[in-house]
Amino acid sequence: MLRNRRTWALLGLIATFVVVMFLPVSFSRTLRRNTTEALAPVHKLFGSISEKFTSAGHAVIDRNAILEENAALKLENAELERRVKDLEAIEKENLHLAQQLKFVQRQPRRLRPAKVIARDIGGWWRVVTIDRGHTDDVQVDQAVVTARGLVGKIIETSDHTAKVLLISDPSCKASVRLASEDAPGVLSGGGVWLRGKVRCHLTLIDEDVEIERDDMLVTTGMGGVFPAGIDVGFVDAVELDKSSGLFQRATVVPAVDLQSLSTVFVITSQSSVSGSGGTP
Amino acid sequence: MTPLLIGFLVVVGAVLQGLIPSVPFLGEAKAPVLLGIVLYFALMRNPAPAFSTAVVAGLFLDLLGQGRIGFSILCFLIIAWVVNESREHLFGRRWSTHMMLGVFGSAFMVFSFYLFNVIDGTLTLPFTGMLAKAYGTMLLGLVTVPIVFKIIDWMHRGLGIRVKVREM
Repeated sequence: MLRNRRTWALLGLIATFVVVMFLPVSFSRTLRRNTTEALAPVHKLFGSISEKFTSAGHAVIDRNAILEENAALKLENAELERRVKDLEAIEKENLHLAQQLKFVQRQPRRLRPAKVIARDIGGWWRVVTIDRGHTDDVQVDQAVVTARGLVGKIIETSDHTAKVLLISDPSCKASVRLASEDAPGVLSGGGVWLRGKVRCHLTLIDEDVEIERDDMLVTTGMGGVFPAGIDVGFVDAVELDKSSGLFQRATVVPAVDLQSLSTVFVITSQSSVSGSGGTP
Repeated sequence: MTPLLIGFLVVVGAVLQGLIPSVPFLGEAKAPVLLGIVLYFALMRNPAPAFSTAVVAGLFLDLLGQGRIGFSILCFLIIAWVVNESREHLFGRRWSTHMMLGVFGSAFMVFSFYLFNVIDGTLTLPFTGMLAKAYGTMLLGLVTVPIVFKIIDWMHRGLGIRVKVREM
């Protein structure tokens, strides 16, 4: 009797699973969005606790190293202050010359700072969750960057959170070119290699183009997601694409350390900044 | 009390699993915290809490991931069913049992999840990448699952919930 009940319970659960698996896409999307949104405060809480533990641990372990670093930083600071004074003079001269030549400065993009509050729960996809969403003008297909370069793009948003697909994910593709010359190619994520290095693949580069190791790649702006001129990464190795024989392919090291992201910027607008809230 | 405990553990487990960074040189493996929770209830409790934990944990794993909702539920349900059916043949209090379950449970999760998602077209990962991930998750399961067992056991005692398992 008990065994019979157990079998029925299991059959019921399997039926539930089948129903859940064939839920309409819109419904499962809403469910997913709401779950991420509901868990965001818990993620933030646990994140801040782990940050405090990490910094406290570092402070205890690396006391001597911190003292040495502090002394070195004081020296460096003095040197930098001197350089800043020199640069201020140069800047004044530069501004004056720019005005005279009617130099049009490049309009800054509107950047929205965001903190990474969670990573992909299973480690199967290269996705991180940030603490900005609809209410902060964050929308799907906006580019995400750091000061070092391109991070990825927004793929899902809720009111106060958003998911970012990193450029190291195989499903993330970007149109790029060599910074030194106008040679376009397609960048796609290569995941994390067995030695723990994050890599991307660069394909469809014309075989006549001269590519060398450490060549910088930047976005072209084609496709409408990633604005032009953002640093993407450096060429690590190049080879001829044997399948076609017409193109070269390269392995690329991302400019941003995607394994240890903490603060990123969402490009919410590519036009000039007016108003408050954004950090140009 | 048990449904509340399951809900609390799954939410905290899901948040922790999302926060803990993956290990890059182990195929980006993640510490299988939710699997540990599912295994605990499957080994230590009756079918009802065991299966409920599997469904709730699977749902969270799917909702917070990028794959189709339902795959993890099925994987966890199979694990819960197998372990719950064989709990009378396993020594529930022994570390070695928890470690063994961690290793086999992790391997099953990685292989089946990979298979489902590759067939579904939602995952692009080479087979070698999956093998590295399986190896890494098995290693992490070996360590994580006994710790999760110990913590939940301690919570059960604190709440006065009695569990009957086969002893040596």
